[in-house]
Amino acid sequence: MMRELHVSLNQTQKVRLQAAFQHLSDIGSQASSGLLVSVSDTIPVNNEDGILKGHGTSEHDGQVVATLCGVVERVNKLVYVRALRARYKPEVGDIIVGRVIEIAPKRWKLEINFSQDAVLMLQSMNLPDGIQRRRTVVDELNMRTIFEENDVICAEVRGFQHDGSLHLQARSQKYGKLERGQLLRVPAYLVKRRKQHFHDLEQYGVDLILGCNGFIWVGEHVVPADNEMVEDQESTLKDKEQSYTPLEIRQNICRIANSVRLISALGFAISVDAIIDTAEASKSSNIDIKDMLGAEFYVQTAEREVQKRISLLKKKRG
Amino acid sequence: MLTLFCFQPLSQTQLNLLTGLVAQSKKKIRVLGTSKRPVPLEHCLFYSGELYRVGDNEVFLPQGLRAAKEVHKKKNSGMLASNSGALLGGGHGANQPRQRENFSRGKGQMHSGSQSTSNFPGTSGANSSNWGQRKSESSLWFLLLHKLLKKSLLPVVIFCFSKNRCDKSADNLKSADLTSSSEKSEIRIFCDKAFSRLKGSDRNLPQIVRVQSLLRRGIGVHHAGLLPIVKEVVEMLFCRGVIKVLFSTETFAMGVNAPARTAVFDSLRKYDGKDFRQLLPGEYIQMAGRAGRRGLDDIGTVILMCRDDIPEESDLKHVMVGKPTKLESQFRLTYTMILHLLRVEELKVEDMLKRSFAEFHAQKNLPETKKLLLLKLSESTKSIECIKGEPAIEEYFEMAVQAEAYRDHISEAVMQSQSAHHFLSPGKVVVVKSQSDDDHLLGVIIKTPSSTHKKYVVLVLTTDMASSVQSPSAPMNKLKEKENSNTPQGYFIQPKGKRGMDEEYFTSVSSRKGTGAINIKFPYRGNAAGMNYEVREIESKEFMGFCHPKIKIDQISILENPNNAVYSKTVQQLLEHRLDGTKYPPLLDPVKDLKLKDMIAVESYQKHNKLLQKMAENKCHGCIKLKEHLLLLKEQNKLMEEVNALKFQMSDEALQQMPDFQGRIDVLKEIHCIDSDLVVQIKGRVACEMNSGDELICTECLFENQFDDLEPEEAVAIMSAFVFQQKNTSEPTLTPKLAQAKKRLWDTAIKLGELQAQFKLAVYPDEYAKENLKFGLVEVVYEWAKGTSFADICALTDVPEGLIVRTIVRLDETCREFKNAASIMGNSALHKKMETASDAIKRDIVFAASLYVTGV
Repeated sequence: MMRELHVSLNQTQKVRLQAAFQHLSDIGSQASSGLLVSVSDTIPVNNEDGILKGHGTSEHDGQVVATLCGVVERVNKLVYVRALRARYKPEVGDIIVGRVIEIAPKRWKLEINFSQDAVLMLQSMNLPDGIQRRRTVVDELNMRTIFEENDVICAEVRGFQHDGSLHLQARSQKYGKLERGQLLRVPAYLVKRRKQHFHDLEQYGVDLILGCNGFIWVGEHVVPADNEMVEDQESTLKDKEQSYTPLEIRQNICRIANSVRLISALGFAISVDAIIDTAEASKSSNIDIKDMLGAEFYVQTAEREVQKRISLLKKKRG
Repeated sequence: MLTLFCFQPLSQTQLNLLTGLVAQSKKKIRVLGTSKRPVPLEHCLFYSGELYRVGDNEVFLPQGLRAAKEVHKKKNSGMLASNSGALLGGGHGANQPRQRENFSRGKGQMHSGSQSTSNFPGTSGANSSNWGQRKSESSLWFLLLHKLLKKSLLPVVIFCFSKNRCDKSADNLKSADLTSSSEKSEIRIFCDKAFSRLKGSDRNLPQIVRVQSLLRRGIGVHHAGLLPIVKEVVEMLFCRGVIKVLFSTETFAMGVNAPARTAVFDSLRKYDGKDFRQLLPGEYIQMAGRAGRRGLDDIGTVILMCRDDIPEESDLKHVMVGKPTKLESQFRLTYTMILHLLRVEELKVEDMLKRSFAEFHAQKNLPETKKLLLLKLSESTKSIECIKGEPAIEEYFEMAVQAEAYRDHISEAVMQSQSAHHFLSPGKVVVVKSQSDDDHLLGVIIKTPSSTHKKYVVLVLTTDMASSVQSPSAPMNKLKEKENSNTPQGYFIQPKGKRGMDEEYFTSVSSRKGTGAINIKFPYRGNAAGMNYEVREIESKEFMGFCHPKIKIDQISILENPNNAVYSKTVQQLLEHRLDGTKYPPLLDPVKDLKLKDMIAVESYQKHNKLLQKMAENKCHGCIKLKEHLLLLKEQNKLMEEVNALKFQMSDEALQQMPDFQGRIDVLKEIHCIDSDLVVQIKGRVACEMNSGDELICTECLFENQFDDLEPEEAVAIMSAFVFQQKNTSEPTLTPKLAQAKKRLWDTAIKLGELQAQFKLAVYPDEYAKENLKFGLVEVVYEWAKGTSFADICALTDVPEGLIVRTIVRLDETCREFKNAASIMGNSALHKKMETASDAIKRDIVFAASLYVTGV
């Protein structure tokens, strides 16, 4: 997990922050319709027959009882509890960011913030030469040229195998090794599943990957290489080493990264809009990158969030 | 690089299409192939005991067919006379023509049967109890076998197009014995070994006993109704060469690599699920290709059975050397596909649609469309230079277009109204749209439409413009051009005061009865009384308006014997109505005079008038360059429209499947498989697991917890409705609980069908439910899951054993999918239930291991 943000607030800031949180919880209780339960709470089902008990529920003395803290969700006859703070649980198609921790025969093992390590098979990886073929022993020996230990990788969840292990795949130009940037770890529940998790923030020249597992990548924008360009790989490698990330981009990366840190420290849901919004606000109020994690901006961000939700609520009510 | 293996016979055009499609996504493609068959084919007709060669390799030989035809004819003519007596004795009046055919053939051969043999496998099955028919059938097969034996053309595969017919035909050869004693013992040993893996009672299943007795005599049957193990035994024995005659369905030509010396077609027509049709060339080639074993035979013989008739040359040619059918996209957009694509970010569904073969033709032209668009965009459009400073021409143009639309609407309403027909009588003075823009022509109706002549005949005064002096043979399509040229004029507004001074001519039309013939050619042009005139046909919508006056005309003399004097008189009369200042006499007011009553028409009439007034107020109205500018604007608008159309063609919306896709997305949203941002929800994830049945019905049934009160055996029985595929089976008898579950599931399906229909998908609830839920095997599976023996469950239904086994095997797959779904939902009870169900059906003959896997 990310280092806890230690903010030393003065008296007025403390009061402001408390007021903001109070507002938020008020709005939250108004807006949320779901039923909050904690462990062993009875979930009222109104004696309907044919209730389908899903995750986080159990039957006890003829009553449906929650086994998790969270929100009760219903789909048709299915009743399940969506935990509010839970460890990341992979679903097929999730985009995740992970770190290579081990190279095993024909596979890499990745730490992805799940209860077990994920497996990325050599065969579910595009080879560097871009040709689709059987993986040979030579390929196996050269696995380290693709990913080494401690490399940060972006991949997609392929599914659980029969033995219960989690498999990933990276058969696309979008997936692969991530370089020149920062890896941030936030609680996974702050990242919601969206249509898009890859974001190219053009105005900053920065790529942002919101991994569903709570690993967030902020890095220099890379142009996806064409698959067919095979010939001068070595020369491009050299080029890469020679070209440095410009200072401005580095600053941008840091600003975005600090926005993410700030939002997660406040415990707000992390979305591109929120991140850009925070970064823009810091820029417009002339706050240095290093001061973004300071007390004043911390409180400001919380207050801005309150404003945002109030206006959203108003809009909803028309 | 990509290697694509394709073992289908393809024509060059098909190949080009296929490679084009592949090349679209992968850049490099190389095609290797062979156009030569290692064993050449020889195509024959079998008619009345003789073989007639009609084809050699790819070449059609008409001589053979002609010879066969001659024999056929000779028999027909020779027998006709002698048959008449026998016909009376034959009895069945309804079948007479067919019977005669049968007789004529019958005597020449050894048949003495008096029943008709039909070409259709289905119908012959229906009256197979008939002694005579069976006799003639079996003798026909014997005749063929005899011939093949003599020519040593065995082994042979005989393609029949239904399971029933395969069985019947094989049973017809009861007395045939084609194996030597050593072969007999080989077959017996093989069968004993193969069937030894079955449980005692299963070994005595009627099907196994029957097939074994056939096999021993060298005769085999192969179709989907057989048990998998029996099918495998037949295939293996056939490959060993001990089976001499194999009756099989089309599937044998597809999956199994077991060629023979000879391939025989029972008929050239087959039932394809909807109706009987001719075989397609591709199907014929595939089946004919079974003939000729590589390395064993020099030539493969393909024989076509002829019973009553020799097939037509065109039909034969079509299947033998005809063009293969066009490759058609089998791409079907399914809910599972959409869901699978939606949960990964990488590939959009739209991209998937684009890459499908269905869109291939449209996508292929995309670069050209792009070029065309750029060209159109670069086309310089002249800007309008308004002489009055600020240009208001766009506004004016819009109004003009609108006014035109209103006018069309009004005139349509006028023409439909009763009073208008009253006015549209010969002699009425009218104003007609002219082919040049701004002028409308005064004319008089000469003839109203009749049943033979759909258009009005009108004499109009043309102006002295150059176009009017064209030769009378000017092309008729001028009429059509006229419709395109439209510039509005304020012709409807007439000073009201003038209307009073109309002179009334109420001379009746000449009472002489003409023949109705028209002896002049339209358009008929001439010159009289100093004016050019023209007699032409027009449609009712070309009338701009009517005038009050009516003039006397001589219809007959104008139309039948063109006479200059008559014309000049008419023209003069017309001219009288030209008043000073205006070009035409006052027009009738549609509302007041024509008694237009239709609310909408009246409304649009008023709007039209208002619009005209507004137009008059516009400063462009009096502009001298008005016409020029309007034209320019029109051109620009046309260009814009073209550009927009091209842009549309290139966009995703132009994809053929787009409406379907949108509808399906809406359905998925409605049942909460995906949320409003198209993110897949828990229900969608469950639906993704469902592959064996209809994903929506399966998911809905799970989420409604329909299996809650069912035992595992009952649940799996109900689930059989998802995977069983045969229509028209015997009605199963169900326990009340099962019947209730069945009803529940059926209602769910209907509900889903209605929902889909509501979103404009081509789904009909009843059909949808019927298509996806077939309850024919519910009872059988229930009994099987409870542990009843296979022989007993076969007795419960008329479904062939092979299909029962197949359904139960697939049912195990469904159980697994439901198990996965249960773990996604987090319900352990359902998970356990499915596991128990799966264990209950996995036993004995149904899950006997394949002979190919274990060896014999």
